[in-house]
Amino acid sequence: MNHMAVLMMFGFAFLIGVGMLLMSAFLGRVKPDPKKLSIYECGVPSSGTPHDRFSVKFYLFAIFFLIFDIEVVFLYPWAFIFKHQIAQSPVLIVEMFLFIGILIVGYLYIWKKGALRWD
Amino acid sequence: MFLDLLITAVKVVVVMSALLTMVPILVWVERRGSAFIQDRLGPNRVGPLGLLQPVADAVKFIFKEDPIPFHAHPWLFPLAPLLSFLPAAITFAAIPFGDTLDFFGKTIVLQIADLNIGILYIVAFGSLGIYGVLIAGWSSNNKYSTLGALRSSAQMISYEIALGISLIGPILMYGTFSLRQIVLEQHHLWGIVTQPFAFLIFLVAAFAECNRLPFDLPEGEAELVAGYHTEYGSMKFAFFFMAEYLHLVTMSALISTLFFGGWQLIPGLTSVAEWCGIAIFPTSLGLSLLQVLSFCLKTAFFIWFFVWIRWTFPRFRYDQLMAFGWKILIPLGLLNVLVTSLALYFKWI
Repeated sequence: MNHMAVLMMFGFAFLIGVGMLLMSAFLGRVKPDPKKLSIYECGVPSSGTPHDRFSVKFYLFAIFFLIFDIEVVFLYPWAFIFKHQIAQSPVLIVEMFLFIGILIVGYLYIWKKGALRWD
Repeated sequence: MFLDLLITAVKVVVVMSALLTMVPILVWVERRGSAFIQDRLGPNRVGPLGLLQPVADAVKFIFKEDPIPFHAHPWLFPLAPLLSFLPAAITFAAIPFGDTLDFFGKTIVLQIADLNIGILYIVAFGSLGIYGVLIAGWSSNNKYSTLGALRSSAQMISYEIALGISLIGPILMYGTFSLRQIVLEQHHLWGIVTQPFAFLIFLVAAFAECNRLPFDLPEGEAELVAGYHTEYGSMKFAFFFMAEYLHLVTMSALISTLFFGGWQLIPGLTSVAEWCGIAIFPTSLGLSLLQVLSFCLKTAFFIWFFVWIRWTFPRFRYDQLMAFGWKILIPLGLLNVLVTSLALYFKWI
């Protein structure tokens, strides 16, 4: 039932979204003009391609994101069972301290390497 | 079964309509609020206090020409606003806006979907909005759009980690992903008391996730024109706007749910209700309405907080923004996780 509700929410949002876009497409006036349809470039003709090389920093941060996000994903199940099972198995807290400890070593390494600097 | 489906459908329609009505109201609040803060008048011509201004804007959005530039991707370009709007619109489904409502002997849970993975659902769908931004920037085939989208996505993924880590504090405290359960657990004590650091980190990360000032780098107009939606006009542009405001509403609702007791009554509200002569006993209509009112008031406060901050603080520089996310918020978040788990282990809280 709950998943049905999410599906219904999605369907309703989708209908509204597509409906409003189509409404504007049909009701809006259409008067094409070569200048209007050219790339916006502060009034001068655009030169070069927009999909040029960009800073490698973006790529680096994307990789860091993957690493840290997976780490957070690993933390979630642990956080979920922690309160219920800490009394039976106190080793839970040691495990997570080890995990976060290893992570912090890597984190300090990329910090010292200057990979987190943006200039 | 059929009745349940019908009730769900009614809930979906009511909540979606309320959310979509919030957008024009928020535009008005934002414009009047900024005028108030900057000692201007703001829109005051259309309707009383300019209240009809957003309606006029909406009509204009619909009737404006909606060109697709020559160089833009033919179908990714129109798809991007939808991809940005949809996740923002359906994230709200997991948030409880009240306890239960007795309606002709049938108990209705005032939440669209009581998911047992509510927090994961919100984090997952909230971050899908990045695709809309990235596709918009890439398919526009414009330098400003591409740069704006790159910056925006780098910012959003950076702060998403801080957001995810800050959520671990409340999960540790309550031992559940279900937002309804979390609100029920806050009956005696709001989450802010036990998790103040998680609240602060979450608040800052939420600002960055919504691309709001002081973190609205993707739209730094002096350098990037309008960022990833430079080439968009008409209703497509409005969709990015709607996505931003829907995100803002959902984040405010999430903050009040996780840290301020959600629909738990605001202290003092019961005495006000008794003074007004509203009957309050478990499962009464009065109580349900008061709970929804409490939730709405808390959420409204945080929405105003977002607007307030926007017109009070200057914009960060991009390197400061990235450094703040990676060098301050993430270590603080990890520290909060460690301290919370230790506190739970030694039964301090």
